[in-house]
Amino acid sequence: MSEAVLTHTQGDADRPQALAGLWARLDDAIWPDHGVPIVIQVGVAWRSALVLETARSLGEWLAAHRPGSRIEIVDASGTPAKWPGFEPAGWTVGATVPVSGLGATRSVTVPAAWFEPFFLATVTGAGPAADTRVSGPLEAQAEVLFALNPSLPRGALRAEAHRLGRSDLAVVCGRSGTPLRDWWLASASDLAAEAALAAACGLDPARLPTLARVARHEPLPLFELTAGPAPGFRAAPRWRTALASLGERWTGARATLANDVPAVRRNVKRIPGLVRRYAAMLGLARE
Amino acid sequence: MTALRLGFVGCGAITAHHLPALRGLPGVALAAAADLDLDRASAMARKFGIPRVCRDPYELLGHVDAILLATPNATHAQIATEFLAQGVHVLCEKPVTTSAEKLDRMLAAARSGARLMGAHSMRFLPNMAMLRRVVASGWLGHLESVSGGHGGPYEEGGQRTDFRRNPQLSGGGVLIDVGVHFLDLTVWLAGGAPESVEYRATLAPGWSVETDAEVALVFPDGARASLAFSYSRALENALTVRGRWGWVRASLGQPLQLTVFSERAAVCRRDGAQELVLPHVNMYRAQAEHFVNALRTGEEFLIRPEEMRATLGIVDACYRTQPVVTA
Repeated sequence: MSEAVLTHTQGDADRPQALAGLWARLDDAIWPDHGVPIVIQVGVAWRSALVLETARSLGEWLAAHRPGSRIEIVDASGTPAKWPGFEPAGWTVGATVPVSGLGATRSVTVPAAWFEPFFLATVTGAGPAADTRVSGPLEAQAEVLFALNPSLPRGALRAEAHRLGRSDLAVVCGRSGTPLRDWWLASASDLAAEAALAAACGLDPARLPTLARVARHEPLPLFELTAGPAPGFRAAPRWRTALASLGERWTGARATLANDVPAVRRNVKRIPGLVRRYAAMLGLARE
Repeated sequence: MTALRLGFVGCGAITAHHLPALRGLPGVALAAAADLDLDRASAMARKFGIPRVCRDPYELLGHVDAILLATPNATHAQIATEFLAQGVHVLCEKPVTTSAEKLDRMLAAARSGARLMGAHSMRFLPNMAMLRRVVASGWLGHLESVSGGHGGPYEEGGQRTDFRRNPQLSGGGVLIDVGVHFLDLTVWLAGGAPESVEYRATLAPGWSVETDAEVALVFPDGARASLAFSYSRALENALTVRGRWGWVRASLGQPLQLTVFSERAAVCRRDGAQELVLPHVNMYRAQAEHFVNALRTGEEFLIRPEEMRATLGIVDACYRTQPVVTA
């Protein structure tokens, strides 16, 4: 998988032209085979008219270049935008499956649809976030899991969303400069796109909480940040992230307790039977 | 809502598993228990607040709306037939009976809407229920094979009586006792009866029923099954199902887990085989809830008559082959 991060700016073009230029610049190798279902996931955090227009433009471009492929939209916002011409994927309301989680997260509920084949493109805005310093594609990817696992810590869910439901194409967009112009970052690697966004904000990507968490389980991608757009926002200060991580730990402990208490209760009931079985094995009693 | 009066015919080791799970089941009154060992039936009745106890199962007639039948296998047909004929529903421990022909007679005896369900409780294990859902979802593609082994040293199992050694009571050996679980699951997964059955069995010294059995099945759509059962060896106690695009494995030892891989699944393409972590369910309670709800709503039982017939049809086909005595 390519880990290059493509940067694209509006320049003097109008937005539709700039978007058409962006899709044309992406490496042919990232697009799915003909017939593979395509899911476009639209981020809720930092949603803007630009985000919606970028998602629609991508859908229309794919419909034209991948005829015959079903295109679905995942819109986890409470008031989903209208998506004429596309089907809703229903990931947050359809059947779900609990899969084993990483680390202390015993299980994570994911959409059953994740066991089907699809190409996933995530389109999202970007901005500061208290618990992650910047909010980008990793946040957008996790929004479905936030909805399905409200009691689990969000930091764990961001890592799970990357592990289990990472994008085949991550597109981050925003507006900055004077006069305001649109900019986009696009990559076949969600981690590279997140890291590029952080670097553009002047942060060391390896020290971002979400990327640091992912790095416990896999190497972070190497990427080269070419001269690109300035995001036009400041990352949340580190002290706010430290504070947020305390809340995260509390949520994690509560979720673990909620899992463990019923399990302990069940197993305590088994102790008499276990004692009887051992006694029977040792010939001390008849089972 | 009038409570369903549930009676227990046979108070052996398996009933001791059912009763705690049934306690407090909404809409169900534990009404009566019968066992040749009246002391045992009385002890169970005291423990679970069952008001009526007797030796003769037919004394329950008129006092129950449904029974859990858990007597030795060969007695199921006669007792179930009598209760069904009197309009009493029957949840019958596995094997439902000892041949497909007897099953048909049991079903034909039902009067006044009385219904019969085989207690193939493994269908209610969380991982087996999920396994069926995975196969039905098409994630694995066309079903190609089912394989597995179930069994362990007989002495390590919990038996109150030794009826399993007596073919007059058991109707057979490890195949009909242990094997029917995986045969039932295989029929459920494959969607019907196989078109061919191969069987090999051995008897351990001192036994008059088979103690080890291997069954190979071929289904009409080409799916194959290869299953082993044993009273003498500890087998894997797991079922593996393979489809065109992937596989799934369920272990009896870890009923809350199921491992799934499909080369087409987006999640497996990203992160390989996935272990599903399922919520705890007591299979006996889930089975009883299903039985009672189906009686109330009229919905079809999960274990359908044609599936019970297919499972017993496999047993019949196997038992037409004479087991080989081990040296």
